[in-house]
Amino acid sequence: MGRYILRRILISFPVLLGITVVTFTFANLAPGDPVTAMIDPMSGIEPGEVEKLKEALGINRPIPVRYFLWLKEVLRGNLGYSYVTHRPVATMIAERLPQTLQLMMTALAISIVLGVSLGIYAAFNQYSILDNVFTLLVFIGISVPAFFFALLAIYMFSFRIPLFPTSGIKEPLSTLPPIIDRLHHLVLPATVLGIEGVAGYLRYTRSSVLEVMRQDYVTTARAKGLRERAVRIGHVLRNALLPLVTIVGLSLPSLIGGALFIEVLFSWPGMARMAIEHTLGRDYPVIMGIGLVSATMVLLSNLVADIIYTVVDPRIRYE
Amino acid sequence: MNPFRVRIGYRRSLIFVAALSIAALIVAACVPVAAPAADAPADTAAEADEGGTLTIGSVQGSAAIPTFLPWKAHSSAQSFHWNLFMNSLVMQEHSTLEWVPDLAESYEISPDGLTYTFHLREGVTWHDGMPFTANDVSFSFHAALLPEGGSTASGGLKDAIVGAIDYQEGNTETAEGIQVLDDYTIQFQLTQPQVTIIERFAMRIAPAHVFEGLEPEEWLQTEFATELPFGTGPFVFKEYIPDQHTIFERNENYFKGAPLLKNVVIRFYGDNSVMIIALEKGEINMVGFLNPSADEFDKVTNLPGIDWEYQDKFPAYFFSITFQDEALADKRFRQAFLYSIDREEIATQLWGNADLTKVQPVSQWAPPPGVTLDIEEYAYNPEKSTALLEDMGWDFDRVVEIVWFGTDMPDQLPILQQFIEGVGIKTKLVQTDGARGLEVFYETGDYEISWVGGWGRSYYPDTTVVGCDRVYPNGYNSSRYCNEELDALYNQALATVDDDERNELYTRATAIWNDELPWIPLYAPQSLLLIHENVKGWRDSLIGPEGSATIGAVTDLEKWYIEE
Repeated sequence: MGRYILRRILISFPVLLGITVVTFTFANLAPGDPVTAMIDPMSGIEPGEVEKLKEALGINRPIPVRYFLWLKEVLRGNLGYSYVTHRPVATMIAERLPQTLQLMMTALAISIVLGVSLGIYAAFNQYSILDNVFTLLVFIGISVPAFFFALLAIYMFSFRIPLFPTSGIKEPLSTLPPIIDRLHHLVLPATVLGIEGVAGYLRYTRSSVLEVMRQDYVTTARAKGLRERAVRIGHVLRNALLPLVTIVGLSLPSLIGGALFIEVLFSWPGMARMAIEHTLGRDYPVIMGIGLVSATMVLLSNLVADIIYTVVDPRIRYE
Repeated sequence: MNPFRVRIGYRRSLIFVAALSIAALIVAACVPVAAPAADAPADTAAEADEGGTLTIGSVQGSAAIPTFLPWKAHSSAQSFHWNLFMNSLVMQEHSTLEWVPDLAESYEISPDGLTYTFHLREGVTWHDGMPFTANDVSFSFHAALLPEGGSTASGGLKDAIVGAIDYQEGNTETAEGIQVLDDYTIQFQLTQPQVTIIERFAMRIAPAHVFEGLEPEEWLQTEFATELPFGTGPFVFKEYIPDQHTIFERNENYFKGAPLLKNVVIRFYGDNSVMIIALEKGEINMVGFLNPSADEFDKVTNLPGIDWEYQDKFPAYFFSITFQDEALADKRFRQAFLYSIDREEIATQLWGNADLTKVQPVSQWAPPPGVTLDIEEYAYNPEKSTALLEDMGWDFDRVVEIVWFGTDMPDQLPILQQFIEGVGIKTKLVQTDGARGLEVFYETGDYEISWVGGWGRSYYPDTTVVGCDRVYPNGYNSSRYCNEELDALYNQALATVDDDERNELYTRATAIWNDELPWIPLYAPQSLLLIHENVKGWRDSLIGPEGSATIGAVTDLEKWYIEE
């Protein structure tokens, strides 16, 4: 097992390197550059200054040269400075990442807890009224676009029934304790995002449980005279929920990627919003920084999911 | 069997899920809330009723505020911030648009228009307590000459100020034309008379002592530039959280008298609709520069408890048609193009109001006061349009591309296209990424017709967008128009100190513009200012010369207050 993990980690490095090459190349091949993205006659940039600005940012050099300069700095632990804000990219990510993690993990927890429990209930009570109601709700949940749902939630629970702030992570000049203030701001976006995710987990759990219930070993367990409860918990759920680990594992990268619509509508200063703004601005250091962090997270979470699999499923052994 | 009680049974997979949920909650509780303002003690609420807090909504994201260094101007969000905590030598008086002293007590212009002498106010202090002197002014204008320090203003200054180029190139320690005469007097020598220089003197002044000992390359990374700047202005900058808010606090020692408001907060929203809900709800009490559609117009002007006012006609919209194509360069095609569009109808449908942009230099939708406009208005006239096209022998089978930049197609574009096609000009809309704008639009000029949404204005038009020698990178003449007579008129006007003489030159330039249409002007919708009824004192300080509010240049926010 130890050797397997080590091997996986070692393989990750060339993969990561490959990803950075591809990201860097595509980001730089995209037409325009950080200076031209800023240009418009309203910006006050005098036309003669454009070349000087490009030179100051070093973007006149060939792409491979710039890539190796970037890589050299990254290996020293320096992600560089944003072309737009001139702040260290690492600092910018460090500010945004916890906000996104907080929002996404809370939402994921809501999705999993609600989705899995309702899915189990629906499966064990197939074709009951509640099962049908859940199915209907799931279809609504899947069909309604996130931004509409978010606006509706803001209108209802912030304006009509003023329970929560419309948006933001923090009240300016608030006198509340910071944690309470933060939770107050978190409820609405996390719930909206969480409920969006419920549909998937519910459908997945329901069909998985139903499938396992039809397996021969379940019939065998019942034939042995096991109590229904023991059959369901020990045999059905145990097997039906295993693949959930993969599903959750695969959703981990989105935890740091963030959710654009939610971040925009709720003014949540997370990674997705930063990624979009800085991509449109051709802010290469920020694009690369986000790319690097995201790629690392994807590789790590896949590894973690695989390892957890061996823990929860004794049949799986990696050599 | 209750499925909700399964938790005791299947241990490990559930443990994983549970652990994840718990982890989420722990993260939720532990993520450090961005450091609470050290200056927001519990008694803030108690003090707040004295003058209250003005909270302004904005949808400009953090990318709109790349820095607080005043010589790197980028967006209106930035200048709105600067207005609150910084000052400049001179500022534009909102009701007359005249330039009046600000940090200067007075200023003189020599009769030849070459020497500007500013006598500065004494006793002004920076928010950190240090005295403000002529050194700060000198430093700021020297800084503005150095692109390596982030300056985007050097292009306009380097040719204007004596010795500026030598300084920029590192040949001298200081620019010869910037002379500190004593602690409170500073003099600028110009290379030639230039009326627009006064706009340059409106640049905000930064404290020299912050940048002492730093190389220009380091300026952009200072705390001053990125998160906590300060100035001499009515409000003290307290906290900036990108994409969240900026907090300002009253400057008790402001040299024009302490403001009435205790705090000013700018809150950033990701979306207009949410911002309007926040306004209705009272989370914010002011929103400016809103351009609602005609449907939304009724709603936002009828919000309970909210006053509204027209603001600057801003921005102005244009088409740019290239001169690199013989048929498109034909004056008759350009006139036919403009006659084909019912601008009044579009503007009324889209915004409920709009000023039809006078056929004027593109950087100038409204003529300087005193310029006579005896011009063709190009009212909607499809017959005349078709006649002009036939007269010039337009190829009605030709499809011209109208390129637009960005991610969302402007609402107006398909409507405009319908009008243009109505007279038989076949068109195709082509989208191009915003960041390619410079390349396609300015560098190569490789387009037929381009949509130009939202341009600002400068008080005195010049050749920047039309001059023969102003093709990129020497200017923004994207259409490659060239008329030496027009260039001469503009250049002469800029160097003419006498108002009447200058207006005469501008009037003649306008007539050429009006006839040849180097740019196709459309309209400038009036944007709206929405403000809570309990905010008082704003009307007098905002109403501009044409009776509309101009918060772009908030000049005396210190007189505003909140009525409980």
